[in-house]
Amino acid sequence: MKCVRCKQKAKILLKRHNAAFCNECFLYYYRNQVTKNIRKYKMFDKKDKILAVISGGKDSMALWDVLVKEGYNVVAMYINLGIGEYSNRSQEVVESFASKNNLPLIVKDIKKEFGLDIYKLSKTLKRSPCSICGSIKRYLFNKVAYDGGFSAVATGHNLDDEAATLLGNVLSWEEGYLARQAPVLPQTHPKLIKKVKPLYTLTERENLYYVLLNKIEFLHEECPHSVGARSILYKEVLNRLEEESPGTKQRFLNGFLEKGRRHFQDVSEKLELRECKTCGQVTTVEECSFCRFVKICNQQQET
Amino acid sequence: MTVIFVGTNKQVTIKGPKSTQQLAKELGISLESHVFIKNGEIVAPDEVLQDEDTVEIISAISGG
Repeated sequence: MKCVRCKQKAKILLKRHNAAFCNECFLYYYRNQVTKNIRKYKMFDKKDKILAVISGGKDSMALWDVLVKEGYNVVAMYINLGIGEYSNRSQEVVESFASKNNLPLIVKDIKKEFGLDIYKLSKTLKRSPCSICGSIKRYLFNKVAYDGGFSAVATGHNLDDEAATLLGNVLSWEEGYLARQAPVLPQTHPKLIKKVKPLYTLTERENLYYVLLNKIEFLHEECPHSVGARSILYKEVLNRLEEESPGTKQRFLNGFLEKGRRHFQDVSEKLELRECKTCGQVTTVEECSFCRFVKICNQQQET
Repeated sequence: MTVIFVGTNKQVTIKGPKSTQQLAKELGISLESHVFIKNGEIVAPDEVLQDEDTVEIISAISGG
């Protein structure tokens, strides 16, 4: 197997591109893909200040590293969600990378700073911990981005994530989500910061190669709550299709973005955005869920 | 060869020689979502693995 670029011995086969790469040329391809994605969707430029949300997993660590290497003005943000040892270990990985590379990092600890406990909230509100966690993360990275004057929030969502999300949305015909799913979620309110996914054309396997080749430490283990998650099933199904027909995931997502998405714009419900009466952040109700969570946890602490 | 599934306690012994592709098929592992490592280096799908090799398999799938 020869590298398509330098003709030396190839190690990494990317069937969907009909290409194989040696380690060095793979990194060149990877960085090229990220640059193309950023330019194609006008995600940000070198003058912008970008908040990269980092969990310590391979995708977000790859995102952080590649954006820094490409010369973007990046500040990383890590949120400790109070998920026991998993949170402790992921925070260590992120802080270690920031320290070794002398990179700016904002750390938010939801328990220490806000008194939030996702397990207590899950029990009280009868919602899954994942749903509570998602609400808290989205609130915090938007708030930090808005308060800090960031132009965009970048996440490590990759091709597998996007294709699996799309499959789930199609299977349930979630018209609202289908209208909105894209590599860029634009600023629809002055206090809602643009969200971008620079890695959206790269697979999880490519992100793994990237961190391994760059010797970037990352957390191998997944959140304990992700066991049995529907998204993993969708990814496995899509990978099975990909093996039989290379390029399936890419065609599915790109085809949707180019041809499918626009057909959902008229049928999706337009949300009325307002500002939370307590914190001023964007919500669709009088008081945002984050502020409600804080109140609930404070009340529980007092009793 | 010794095959270690990184991130789990699982380890198996498989008879070589086999290519990475053949090993993946025998183990029921998708090459689309897994990376094979030998001596700290990425292993190509067409590389032949011998009885005395130790191979680590890392799953790329993240969830939730």
